[in-house]
Amino acid sequence: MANKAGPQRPNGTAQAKICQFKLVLLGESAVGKSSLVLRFVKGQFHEYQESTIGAAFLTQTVCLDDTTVKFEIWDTAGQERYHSLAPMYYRGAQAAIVVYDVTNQDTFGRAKTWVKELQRQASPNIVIALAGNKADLANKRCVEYEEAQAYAEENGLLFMETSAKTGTNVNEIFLAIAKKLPKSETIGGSGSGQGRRLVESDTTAKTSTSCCK
Amino acid sequence: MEDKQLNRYYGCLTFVAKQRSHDLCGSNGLPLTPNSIKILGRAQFLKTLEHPNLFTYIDVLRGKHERTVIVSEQYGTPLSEFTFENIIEILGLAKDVLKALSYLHSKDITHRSLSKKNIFFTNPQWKVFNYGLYYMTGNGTDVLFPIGDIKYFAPDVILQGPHEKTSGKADIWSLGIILAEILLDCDIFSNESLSTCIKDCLSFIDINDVFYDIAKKCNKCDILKKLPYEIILLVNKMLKTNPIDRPSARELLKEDIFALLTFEKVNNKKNQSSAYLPLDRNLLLELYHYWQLAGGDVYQELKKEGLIRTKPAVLSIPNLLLLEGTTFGQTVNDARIFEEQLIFLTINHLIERFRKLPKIYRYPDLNNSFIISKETSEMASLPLAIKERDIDYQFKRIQLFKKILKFLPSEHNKILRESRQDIPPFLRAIIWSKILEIDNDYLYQYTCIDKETPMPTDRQIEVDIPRCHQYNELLSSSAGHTKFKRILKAWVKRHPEYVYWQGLDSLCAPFLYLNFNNEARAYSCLKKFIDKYLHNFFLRDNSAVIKEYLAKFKHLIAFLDPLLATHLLKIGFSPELFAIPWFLTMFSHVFPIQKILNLWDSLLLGSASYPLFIGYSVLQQLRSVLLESGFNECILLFSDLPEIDIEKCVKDSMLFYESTPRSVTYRQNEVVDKNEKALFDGLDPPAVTIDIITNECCPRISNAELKVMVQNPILKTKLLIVDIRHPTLYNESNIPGSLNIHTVDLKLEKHIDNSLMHKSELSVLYNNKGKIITVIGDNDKKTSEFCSFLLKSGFPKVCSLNGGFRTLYMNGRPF
Repeated sequence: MANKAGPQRPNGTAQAKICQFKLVLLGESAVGKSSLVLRFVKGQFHEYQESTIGAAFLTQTVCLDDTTVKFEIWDTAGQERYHSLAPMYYRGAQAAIVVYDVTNQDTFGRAKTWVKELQRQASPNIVIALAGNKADLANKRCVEYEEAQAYAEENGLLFMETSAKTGTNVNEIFLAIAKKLPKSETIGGSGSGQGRRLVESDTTAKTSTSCCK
Repeated sequence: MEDKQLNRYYGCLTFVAKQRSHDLCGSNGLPLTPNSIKILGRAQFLKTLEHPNLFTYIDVLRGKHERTVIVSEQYGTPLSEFTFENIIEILGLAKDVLKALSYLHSKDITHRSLSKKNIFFTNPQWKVFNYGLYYMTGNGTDVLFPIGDIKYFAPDVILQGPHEKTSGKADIWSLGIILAEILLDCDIFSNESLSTCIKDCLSFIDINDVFYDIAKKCNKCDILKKLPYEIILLVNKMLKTNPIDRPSARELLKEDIFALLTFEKVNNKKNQSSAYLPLDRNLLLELYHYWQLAGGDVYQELKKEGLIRTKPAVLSIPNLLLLEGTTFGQTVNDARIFEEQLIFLTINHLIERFRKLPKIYRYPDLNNSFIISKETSEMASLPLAIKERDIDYQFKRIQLFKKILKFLPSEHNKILRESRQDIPPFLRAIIWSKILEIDNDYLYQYTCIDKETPMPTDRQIEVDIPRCHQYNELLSSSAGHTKFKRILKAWVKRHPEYVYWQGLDSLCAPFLYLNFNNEARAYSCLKKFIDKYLHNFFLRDNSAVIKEYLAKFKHLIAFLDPLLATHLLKIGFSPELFAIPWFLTMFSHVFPIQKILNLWDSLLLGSASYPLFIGYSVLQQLRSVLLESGFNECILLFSDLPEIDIEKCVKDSMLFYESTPRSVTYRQNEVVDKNEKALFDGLDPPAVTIDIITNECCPRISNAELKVMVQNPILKTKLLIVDIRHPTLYNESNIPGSLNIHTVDLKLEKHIDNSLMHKSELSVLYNNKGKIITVIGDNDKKTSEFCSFLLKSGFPKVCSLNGGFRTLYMNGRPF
């Protein structure tokens, strides 16, 4: 970890801890994974968000008390066929958001499969959040809040119903994940292959302006 | 274009579609398609209709606030202003209109608003106008105003209610009323109120002799009595109140009475001198295209005529607003009115303009196209944006391409050569299909594919289409979605060895956009395109194909820009992170449609490896930012790709392509031209595997291609061969002119620094920097390490000889 000249710490204190986490988004096609990321990172929403091919990557920083949490977000393609690529993306991930569409029961079923796969294959300490997206379409709801809530509790998942369109619970779910992630592992400490690269770029990275409180 | 009198113009109609509430959304959570877009999508089909008794639809435009503008061919005298000389002329009218209706009904289109205003005499025949309004508005459901004139409505139309589809039989009734009016020389229902009109119409039910009834009502029985019996019979057949008894247009045309017309020469006093020259659909569209290039703007014309009024928003505020939301005192909404007022777009000035051009441009001579090329060459080097908007230039190019297209396939090379200069947008769809060499029986092939049976990928296709290039009006229309789905399903069905990968939708979009009215051609272009550029990309397991493609992309970056390659490697920013959608969709997931069109104009002319160079050129436009950035900034940069100059990208990529040996970008998964096969000998497994390619950072050059370069005196000067074998071996045999560098004393994990500069071999290397450096060794690992060493030291154009020194001996002596 090179200590090149002065990176501005987001909260200005020299002691601030910086944690970097790899977060992966999984879920059926067209449930709104990319829209959630876009809302979180850029505060934008596109009605006709294009499909993701392969995967897309973004980063965003949030501030939690004395810690700066930098998310490296891996937004994956939803098509079942891209499933074979998924392990490459969730390998070494410290957090995952499994997304379903509250207006479509099938996508909830698919989300459960993703949770199972993560519990089996991903790193054992991975923080998994379940997001019931498109909560603004209340009149078309097919998956009840209580049902998903019960499932999340059973499996020890964070759970929120979100709306990338209105912004409801989008920052909240990322913050909740950030809170739950162990902060002892500072940069470079995790030793995972994915972390290394970020360390190098971290010191030269510009401070995110959309930093949350 | 013939040098005859072309006194004609286009007509414009405008109306406003029903507005949709913004809060509503469809079952998939996406906003509902605006009605004007639905109309636009449906109306595309109307543009394909062609019949001598119909005015051709030219264009449909969509303005702000759901405004729709229809541009149609339109000239001649409306029936309402025409005076008939005799019964034969009236029969001629009936026959022409029936022919038009018969054609329309065979296409399942009901006119619904047939009236005296919508039929025109265009010497020598009659043409029907505005026949697509009912069809394009989804049987009137997408607009607030009623379609058709109530006095021509059949009783069944009145009885069926507003939103049921009216059958073609209703048009026959309307024609019956029109004929009755002409024959009796009166306006039926002219002064009646709406309710009386409806009452009168319904009173005809149960009456057999409606024509007589009408005559009685209008006090015209005396005229009726003088009419020939056959005529009365004909009109009465058209006015059967029960649509089942009413004959169809086809049946009516078989009536004996129409045979009369063939014997009786229609005596036309207005004949010959004022005759209109019939123009076919393509020519009409072409003229309209020029009209637009010449600065024609339909909206301006409509504004000039006061058909589109811009009203300050403050004027549309209601006078009174109740707490529950009801409003009072607003002026009547434009959407409730359909003004059947036409405005005309004249094109005579254009024809005059083209007439002044030298004959060679109007009638290009392909055997003498040198003159054209020479004269347009000045223009040819101008930016594309200027060329595409220059009316004279486009005219010349279109005439030339039309001539070439006429003589295909024998002129295939000419079409490739001319396309390299540029492709006129007006003919792009057909030119692309010829470049891609789609089969002649493509229509039949497409028809044979089952596009309807449900299959497992349907769900994926259905969620992808409403997200694919939806800013484009055609692709976002309902008609567009239907066609889109059919083409994708056809492709999946037709290629059982492949599967639907997300991205196929993006690939299809440009072809569908260009061939919106020719699904079969869109499909065939897509098929040929994938066969050539994306061979094996759609295999169920395509990981090896993608891996190889990206490895070759990395090689190309290393070959052309060692500094960038080294930097990207250092920060760990590999093409896997951004380039999969680039190549899987040939950039159609990356750029908007208009840019893709310009990019593919050139891509289609290149080999299967050419897209790698396009990818490289895109990187080059971002080069300075990339070199200054770390991993995170790079990722952010690519998540929202900055504006890319496509024209520059195309020009650069061609230069790069021409200066790179072919085998450097050879891929095992590429379909290679037969003549080129020998050039890539030895680059396939088992000698070279995809793992080997992935692990090496510099490309390999084939033995055959190196031989070609060594033997060519010009190419040879651009080449430096570095032999890294032991000096003893080198002294035994070597390629004359090659440089021997023994790698033992070099620390290959580092790059060249000052401490090494004293070595004379290295200074030779530096003196030859920029040449193609081909490294020849006798051990793959060492060769690869040395290449990487050169790369890190900033040497461009480094490659290794595939197979090493021993391959030189494979066929006898070294060259």
